[in-house]
Formats: sequence, structure tokens, C-alpha cells
Amino acid sequence: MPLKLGPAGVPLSCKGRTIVEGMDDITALGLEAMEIQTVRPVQPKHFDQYWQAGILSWDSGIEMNLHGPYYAELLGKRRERNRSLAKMEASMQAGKIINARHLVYHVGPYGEYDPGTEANEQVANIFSGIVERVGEIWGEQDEDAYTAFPWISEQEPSLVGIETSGRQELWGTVEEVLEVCNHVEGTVPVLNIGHIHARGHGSMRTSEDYAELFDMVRENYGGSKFYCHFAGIEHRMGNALHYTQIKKSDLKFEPFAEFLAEEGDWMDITIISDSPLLEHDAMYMMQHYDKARQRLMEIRARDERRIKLAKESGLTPEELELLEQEAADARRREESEDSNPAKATAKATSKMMSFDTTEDDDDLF
Amino acid sequence: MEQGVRMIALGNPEGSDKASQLLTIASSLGLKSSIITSNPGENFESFNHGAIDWKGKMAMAHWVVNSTSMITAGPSPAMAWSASMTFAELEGCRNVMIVDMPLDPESISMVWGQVLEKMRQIHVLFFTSDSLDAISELEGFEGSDFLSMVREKTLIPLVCGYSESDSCARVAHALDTIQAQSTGESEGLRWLAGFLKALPLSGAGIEGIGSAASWE
Repeated sequence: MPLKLGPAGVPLSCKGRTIVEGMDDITALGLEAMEIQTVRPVQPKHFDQYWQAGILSWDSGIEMNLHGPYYAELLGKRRERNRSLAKMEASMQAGKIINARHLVYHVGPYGEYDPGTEANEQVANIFSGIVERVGEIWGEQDEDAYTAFPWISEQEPSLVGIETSGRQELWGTVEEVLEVCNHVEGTVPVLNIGHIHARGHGSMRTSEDYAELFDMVRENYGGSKFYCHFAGIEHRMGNALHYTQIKKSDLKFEPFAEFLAEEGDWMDITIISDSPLLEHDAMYMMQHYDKARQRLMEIRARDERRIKLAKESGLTPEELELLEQEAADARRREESEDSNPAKATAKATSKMMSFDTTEDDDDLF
Repeated sequence: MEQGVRMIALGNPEGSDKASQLLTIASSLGLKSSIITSNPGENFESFNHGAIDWKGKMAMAHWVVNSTSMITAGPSPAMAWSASMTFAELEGCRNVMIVDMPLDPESISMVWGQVLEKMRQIHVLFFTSDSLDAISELEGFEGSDFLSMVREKTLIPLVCGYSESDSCARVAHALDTIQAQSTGESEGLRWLAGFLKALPLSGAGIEGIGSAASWE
């Protein structure tokens, strides 16, 4: 399963502060993605940096993404909406030169709309315009630029990501985001797991919760490509209060890692760590994912071995499992009897089949 | 074990930045505090920030105070400013960020952008009176609800500001916005020092924040 992990910004441990230096650190850490936060204001010197980052991304394969303004009011009055769109414009321009695969945007408060079809239609209209504008920007031809920056002609324009929100008064439940993404080609849902957890009163607790979420996305939106944010979060009454490092939150990564390892074969997923410990938590996620995969491989190896042994001994795997269970019980009994030598004789006379002998060179466990 | 609230701050050797000023006031209020700065004779702009023993300095500290003037004070202070917040997060300290006006008012936008990049690490954000006016204008959110808007957008737990026009300190938190009359001494820094002293003892609930905010 392709899984890319990375921080939302230049790694905190990076000695330099430029995006390119940050990308070097990301590669050194074994991470594969990065989400640039749009600085304000975007100045020409930033664009120089963006070009360099784009070239490095093209050469190294690091997936670059870009987050738009930290807030928006797309459902606000005309003045507020235009102000938000003006701020977004710079990020759309930057997205092209940085070779961003996703441009991530918030929608903001419901404003004068009630949650429902009317609000969703308005959001869909606005995002149609944004997708169109991104297409225009990528379509602006400059032959000279093509040779130096080949992704402009060879890559598809950035996908416009619509992020789920973490507060009740903000547009952006998973359902709303999926509905708009379904109607506007060129948009993708950005599943901010911390926000979904907060808005759902702490709903993301088990690997089944993740299975349910991704099944819902697959059924309603389709496709196998996902873009997610993950961070610890403090929440109350269905509202995100503030971000925390993963270890300090009731939102754990282990169930997500378990889901990805067990059921995520069909997925192509990018997870961005937007925790206060950016790359530290991205690494933490990577370790947990590796651990979950390792555990799964051990379970599978054990099952395969059981089937093989069952075939050899003429038993069904279930019968063999029962025997193994009995053997394990017997072992536990023996261990408890070790402290009582009088009972230890039973150990010698036990006829229970055991797979735990030192002669068994194939025993992996 | 050492008792009481302890704070450390990154500041310039002259003590002219807001974080250093806050620490001086905090000390006079009885807080245990220490300043982190360059060594004597070292140029602050390019001091060896890699030699700072953040872990040792942060032992037992509750608050790590920074001011935005470090961003424009040179490459070393800017790096130390960023590193201090990460170490604070790792060491379990709470970050306090004082947003003040840079010497070059034109750079307020860049300074504010840098603060936003760090918003997930900041626990208490404090605006001085002039920076409050400048940034609310920059963001196009003028009026008394600017602090709560910043809180909602950034999810910084406590967003505070001091307004000279009505000598009021305001604290926006997840559940409410609290207003407290202040003497206004040192541009509201005295109020902030007392607030930071009282908060760990009063608790983070509505009443606790209210009580800490009205300590004066």
C-alpha cells in the first residue's frame, strides 16, 4: 500500500528555515511528503524558494502539497468571500510552481446559511471557480519555463482539497465535504482525522471506526487516493479546542495504523502530521504503522504455519488451533506448578502435543 | 522539590524586548524566572544558539516566554525562538508568545505570518496594544471580538490582549471571553505576568481563568 507521511511545514529540527532545506531533512528522516503552509504575505523571494522546492520535488519524488490561508469565510458576505478568495489566489499560484499535488482549503463558518443543500451548493459553486482558476494558472503557457520546470506540462494541475472542519459552526462535516467533492471535478476530500474525531465527540477510537470512515468515503466519493491530516486534539462538546502532540490526546494513531496495515491494501494515502511536533509525530506514525504491519505479518506467518502443520498431521487448522490452545494452557499450568516440585512430575508424563520444543527449528515464535 | 510557578524567556542581553521585560516584572511579583540570552561579549545576532541547554533550562519551568522581536533580531535569535518552542513542547512547558510591534512596522505582516506558522505550539498568545491594532487591521477584523476570532481560527487555547484605549485586558478562551480592568502598567505586561503567575494555581476552567485574569 502506498503510504506517504510528512509534516505540515518545514521540520522543526531543520537547521535551516527554507522549504528546500526542510525537504532535505524530510528525505533524511525517511518521510515522503510535505505540506507547505502559505506564509503571509507571499513575496517574490518566496517564489524563488518555491521554484527550487518544485524542482527538488520533481527530481526526488517528495510529494509536495500546499495549505491555503489558515482561515477562510467562503460562505460569508461578498466582501468576506472576496477577501478569502484573494488570499487563496497566491496559494494557487504558488501551488503551480511548487508542483503541489494538493491545495488544501478551509471553507469557514456557515455564515448566513443553515447546514444543508443550499450551503453545499454555494460551496460547490465557489470551488468550481477555484478549480477553474487552478486550471487557468496551470494552463498559462511559457515555453521557457517548460524546460526548467517540466511538471507544468507533464503533471496534472493540483487537486483542490476541501478540508473537514473541527467545529460545529464551521462548514465541513465529512458528509458535506463528500457531497461537494462529488459534484465538483478536480476537488478531493481532505480528511482531517483530528477534526473528525472532535466533531464526532471523540468518534475515532478503534480500527473499525476508521474502516467505517474510509468505506463511507469510498462508497460516496469513490477512488482509492486519500489525503489526510493527523494530530492530537483536545475537544469538548463536539468542538476542537486545540492541537496537541499525539501522545497527549485521546485520539490515538494505533487504531489507524492497525486499520491501514490490515485493510488498507487498496489505498493510496498521504498523511500529513499537523501536530505541534510536526516531523516527530510523523515519525511516530511511521513507527506505529511499521509495528502494525510487523504484527500482521507475524499473525499471517503463524496462520500459514498452522495450516501447513495441520495438513502434515491430517488435522483441520481449527483442530490444530484447539490443540495449540490446550498445549498453551498446559504450559501455563506447568509454569505455575514449577514452584511446587511435588506436582512437577506431571510435566514429565504429559502427553500433550507441544510446538514449543527446542528441537523445532522452524518455530518462529 | 522547588515550589511555585517558574518561567523562562528568550531575550536580548539588554533586556529591552518584551519577554525580558515580562520576566523582570514577573520576578518582582515573586515568580521564579530566568532569562536565556547570548554570553557576555557575544554578538546576539549571531550567538551560538546551538549551545543552549534547553532541556536543563526548562526543567521545572511552567512557562516559556518569547516575543516576536526575536524574529527580526537576527538569524540566531530567530532560530533560538523557533527551537525554544519545540523544546518546550517536548519538555511539557507551555509556550507564551508576546506579539509586539517590530521596529519596522512594515514587517508586521511577516512577523504575524511567522507566529501563525507556530500557532500549534503556542498556549498563550498576548498582543500588546499597538500590535493588536496593527494585526486586527491587517486581518480585517477590527473590533473587540478580534481576540476570539483569532482563537477560533488558530485554536490557540488562550488569546489575550491589552487595549490602551480602555485600559482593559481581555482573554479569549474556548468557552468565553473575559475582560479585566488593568492598571495598564508596562503596556499590560504587568497584568500578563500576574495572569501567568495565577493561572497554574487557579485552574483552566472558566472560573479559574476568570480569577487569574482579574488578579490585579
